[in-house]
Amino acid sequence: MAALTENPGCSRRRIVDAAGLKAHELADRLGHPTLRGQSPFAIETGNRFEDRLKKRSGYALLVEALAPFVDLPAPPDLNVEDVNSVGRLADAQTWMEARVAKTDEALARIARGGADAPHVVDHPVLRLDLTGSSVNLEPDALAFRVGDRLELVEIKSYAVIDGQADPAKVSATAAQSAVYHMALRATLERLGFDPELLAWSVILVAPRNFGRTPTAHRIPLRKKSAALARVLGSVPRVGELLDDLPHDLSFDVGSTNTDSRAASEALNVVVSAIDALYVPECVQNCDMAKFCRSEAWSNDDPSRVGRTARDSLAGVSSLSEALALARSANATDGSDAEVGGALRDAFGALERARARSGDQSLLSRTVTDGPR
Amino acid sequence: MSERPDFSEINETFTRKVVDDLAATGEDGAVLVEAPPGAGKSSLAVSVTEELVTADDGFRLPIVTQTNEQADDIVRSLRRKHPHVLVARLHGSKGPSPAMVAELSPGLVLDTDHESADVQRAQVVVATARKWEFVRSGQQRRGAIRRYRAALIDEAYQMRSDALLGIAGLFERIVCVGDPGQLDPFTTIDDAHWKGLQHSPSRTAMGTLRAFHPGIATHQLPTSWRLPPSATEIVAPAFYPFASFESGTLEEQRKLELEPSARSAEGAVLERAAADGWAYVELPERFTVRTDNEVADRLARLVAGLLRRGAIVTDELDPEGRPLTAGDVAVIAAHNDQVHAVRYALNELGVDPDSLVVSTANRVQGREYDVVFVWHPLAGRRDATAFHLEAGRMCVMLSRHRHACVVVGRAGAHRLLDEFPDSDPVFLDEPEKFPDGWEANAKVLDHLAGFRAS
Amino acid sequence: MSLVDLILTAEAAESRSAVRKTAFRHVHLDERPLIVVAFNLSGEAAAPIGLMWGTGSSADDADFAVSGEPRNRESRFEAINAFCDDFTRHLSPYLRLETVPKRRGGGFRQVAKAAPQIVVPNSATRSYLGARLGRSLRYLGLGETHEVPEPTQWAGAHLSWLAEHSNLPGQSVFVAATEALADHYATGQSALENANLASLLAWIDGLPDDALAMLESVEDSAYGPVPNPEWEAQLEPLVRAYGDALRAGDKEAEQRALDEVEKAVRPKLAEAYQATHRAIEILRKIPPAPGVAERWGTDERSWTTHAIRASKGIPRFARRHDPLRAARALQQWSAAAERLETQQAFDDPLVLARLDAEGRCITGVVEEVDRQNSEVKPGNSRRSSVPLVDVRLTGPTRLLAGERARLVTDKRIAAVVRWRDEETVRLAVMDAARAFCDAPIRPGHEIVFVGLDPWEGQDPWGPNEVPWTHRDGEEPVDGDAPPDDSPDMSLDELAAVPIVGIVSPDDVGGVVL
Repeated sequence: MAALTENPGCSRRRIVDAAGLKAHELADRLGHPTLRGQSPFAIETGNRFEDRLKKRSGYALLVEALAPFVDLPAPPDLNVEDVNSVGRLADAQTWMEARVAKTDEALARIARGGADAPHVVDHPVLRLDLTGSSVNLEPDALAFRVGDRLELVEIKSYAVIDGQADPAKVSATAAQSAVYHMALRATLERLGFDPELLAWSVILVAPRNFGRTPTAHRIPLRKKSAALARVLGSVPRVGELLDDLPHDLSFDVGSTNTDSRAASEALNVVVSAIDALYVPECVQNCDMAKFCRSEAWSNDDPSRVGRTARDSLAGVSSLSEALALARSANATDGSDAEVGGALRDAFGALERARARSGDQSLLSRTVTDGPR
Repeated sequence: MSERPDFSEINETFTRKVVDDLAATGEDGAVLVEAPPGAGKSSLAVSVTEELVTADDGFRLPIVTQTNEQADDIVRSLRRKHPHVLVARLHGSKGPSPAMVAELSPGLVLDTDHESADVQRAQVVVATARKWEFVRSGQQRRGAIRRYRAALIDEAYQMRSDALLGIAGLFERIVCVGDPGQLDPFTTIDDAHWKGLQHSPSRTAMGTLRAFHPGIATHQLPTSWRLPPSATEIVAPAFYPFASFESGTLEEQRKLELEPSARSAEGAVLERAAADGWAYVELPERFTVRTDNEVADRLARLVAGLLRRGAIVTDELDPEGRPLTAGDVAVIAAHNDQVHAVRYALNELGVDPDSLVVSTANRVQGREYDVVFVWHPLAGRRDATAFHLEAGRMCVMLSRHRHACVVVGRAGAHRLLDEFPDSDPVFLDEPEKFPDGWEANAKVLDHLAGFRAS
Repeated sequence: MSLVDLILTAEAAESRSAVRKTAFRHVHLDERPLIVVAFNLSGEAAAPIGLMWGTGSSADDADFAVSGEPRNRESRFEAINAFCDDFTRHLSPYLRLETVPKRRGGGFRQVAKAAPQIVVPNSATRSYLGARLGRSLRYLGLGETHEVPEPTQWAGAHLSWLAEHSNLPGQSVFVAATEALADHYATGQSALENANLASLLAWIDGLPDDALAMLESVEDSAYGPVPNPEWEAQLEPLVRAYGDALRAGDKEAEQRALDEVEKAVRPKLAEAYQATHRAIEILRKIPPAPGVAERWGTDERSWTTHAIRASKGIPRFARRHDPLRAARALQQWSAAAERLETQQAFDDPLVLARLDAEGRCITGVVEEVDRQNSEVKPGNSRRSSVPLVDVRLTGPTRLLAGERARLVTDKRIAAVVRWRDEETVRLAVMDAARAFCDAPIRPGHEIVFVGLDPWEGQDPWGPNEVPWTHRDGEEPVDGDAPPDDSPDMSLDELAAVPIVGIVSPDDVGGVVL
């Protein structure tokens, strides 16, 4: 969902999400496996940190870290509801159902404020209805009741050094938490409680400085939640998008085809039929990025050098066209007239400067430097 | 009709509140007055000043402004309303502005040296924050900081935290007056280094002050004397979600009358604006360069059209009506090059671009005009940035007018909002900024949709 | 992105080869800067798996240190200490102070003889070494933190100073090769992609027909500090073997395992080192702009303040800026940014071209010069010389009557736009009229004024104490690092680390469909 909130203008991602496809699998089948990956070391560190806060300290470390925000009793008085304790059930589906039910039940007890209500719900599973299909969310986040308020907590293993963490990572955490927040609100509503019980924030618990001691910060979520609601709110647009596509369009092409190359090509045709908005940041957010980048390169699409480039070219559809406009001696008519004028002015300034600099290597505009 | 708010009554009430609060405030304390656009902030500042210096013979009040124009403005109002108060205007090394030279009289001192006998004699000393910083620096160098009992800071929400840091040592208490809905001060360098710090130099001065002193007395002026009811209706909910205010005038008090003319595209737009207070000209969707000639041309034609229509302005100040002149009109754009494009287009139509104000939002903060024309920041954009959606900018643009506001934009603004990426980095312990630019812009677009004209 | 930069980008894309963005070099280059490259173990804030450093042209001659298991303190600090020892030794000659007469007012002052220069492959490595590694070391040995050798403490202080100084716009002490190259070359790709040194160099070398395939192949060889996940997956069993040997106390196996890790890490370090060195050599071929020496002077003065602090012991650094320091830094950095912009515009016609394209210049041919004109300037009582010059525009300008502009060839000469129409501009020279009259400016000459008018006066002194508005009653929180400030795992903990291979993004907690 992060990929879409970071680029809500991309129809391709919207449809891939609406179809319930895993972007990285699709990218794989298209022959452009994702550039994103997770380090085994990083994953291990993350699991270990969470384990230390919960199981290995009997939740004591977690309670301590949260103390500035949430006043909870120390173990053994701490009442933890581990939703995983429904036991291993025969199939994954039933197991998930059981966990959703158990989470609902725990939340209801909390919302009612009974004395037996758990302080912590671990491994909750929340159900969220998205674009017609329902999705199960499994936050490593927990819900607490403090007074008449529920708190959402998210454990991350990136460092908070002297009170600062990587803003891109915090942003990702906030975006992810906004989804959980939305699901929690929906669950509370479904159970007949006031969703305002839930604070409009998430408490981030992360290692302090370079050690393994946790520290906590409250991250406000109103803005992220609003952004998420906007993206989901424009879901009806998917219908319009689909109307514009061939009706026999299907991502199923070739999933049973034995000739993988042919299958990939068939899929390529399908995916290419849906417009994408590729910008450089996609590489960080979307598993389809490598496919779209390749497409943007072959189209010479200005958006591949950034949104501002695309914006200032005012609809000129390729970099080479922009260059041709800049170099053209005469004003052009039509829709490109203004942008052509601006480009010609800029090119004029550039050429004057190159002439003034008197440096031949600049005039040739290409660089030949050293051996390869 | 007795419930109608009365300007002097409200001004007096709030002057009293501020003066009393200040008297009750110990050293190292502040009183804060938040004011929506045109709420009589300057009048309040002037009344508070007069009240403070006349109640106590020995009381000398420094006034801190953010720009030289603001300093000149406040000196002028003080001189007009309270000519008995001796005012000094401290200016920089480049000398006083022509406006101040014209104002020169025995009751006004113009000097660059704060320590001069003339300035020391004055009851009120007006200078920019930057100039006050030099005053503090000079005293510090000589090892003799002399603190004033209190100071008044005007347009405090346009002040950066480091500017307040540079002068606060001179004052035992401060009265801050400002409009929280306008553009925040900005920095040209990346301020990630100080994010999350309450004393971050790139925060607003008021952000820092309130973080360290959460208990300071805060008042909200309840009435806009500038904005007509038609403007308050959208400006208040879109840009001041936490502090409601209303117009101090009734719809029937404000009138903009145009002489009849032959039917024209411009005419219809102007008539709509004159009748409803708003008009929205939506040009067809097209991706354009920033200096979209069509928008510039349309704005210029509208201005020229208005100036030709022999418009008469009637309001509570001029119940008999006065002719609208170019000086009562402003065109506001987001970028400097757009300002240039409008000026060029005006010139082409034979309108002297210097006869009216054509400017960016940043430069018209705190100003007011009878009729304002706005170049919608999203017009013709293919991709919007946070700059284009900044709530403060839109607020400034839509809250400068006393009578009518005409917005020229292009279709497709809703698409830009739909496609706007949410990719802002999030810094720990940094408060969320409200109102949200996206939400404010969406509300404004919905509102404008009801006032289409072409 | 300005339209000039956009055109340069399009030119580069068309020729599949980087295009020069400037006529001159705007970064100072030492004869033999210290090159430092590093890889950090993912999931840890500051646990280097390998570092390489040197001043020579070949990675074969460069020093390096590899940690077999960065999560183990002994192993990690073996590598860190080796680097810090050399790093501190490299910097110590620059800390020597000499006494010179003051420029004004008599007396003497101390100056450092020269400032060092450190070049790293990319800005991520710069912040890793400074804000992370440097920060992780600078409090060690204080309070209850664990002891480290003195050179390591010194390196922590030096790296911390470098991290702080690297915020100063236009500085050349702590240089990221990607930034320096991207300031001088336009490529046909985005700024984000330019953060990768390998692909920047590929553009400068020129790309083959299938440019994207080439770029994709070089992009994988990131030059640190974050290792490629696939490479880390290959490293994992090697690191594990080292940990096993440590636990078993088998010295021989430990050495064998360390050799294996080294065999995997060293070539990656060498690649990064070599690429950084190439970047420096490419930049060296560009002639320096006049302003470079002046800015390097600022660097040397800043370094002198560090050297003077260092003469009294290991300099200590606060965790965050206090209000006074923060305000001063913002003021200094903004002023430096403005100075840099102005200096580059006056130094370099290609930089000026961006302002010209935005209409912020008056570019044209001199039509008439009136050197005799005199006027009474505002605030004056006597007439003074105000030469007038009429310029026929050869490029569009947005400067309006009343705006100030300076002569590009002599920035002392400042003029005000008197009037203008679409073809001609009249300028009145207000500052340095004498210099203007002496300059060989004749009708028919090309002339350029730029609408830059930087503040050149003194700035006020910063306050010397925090005023009441910027503090509450409580004491500021600062001081030494808490004792738990270490990422160490016990050997038993290390043994319990489960083996995981490469992991796909969806295997991490989150959405379960």
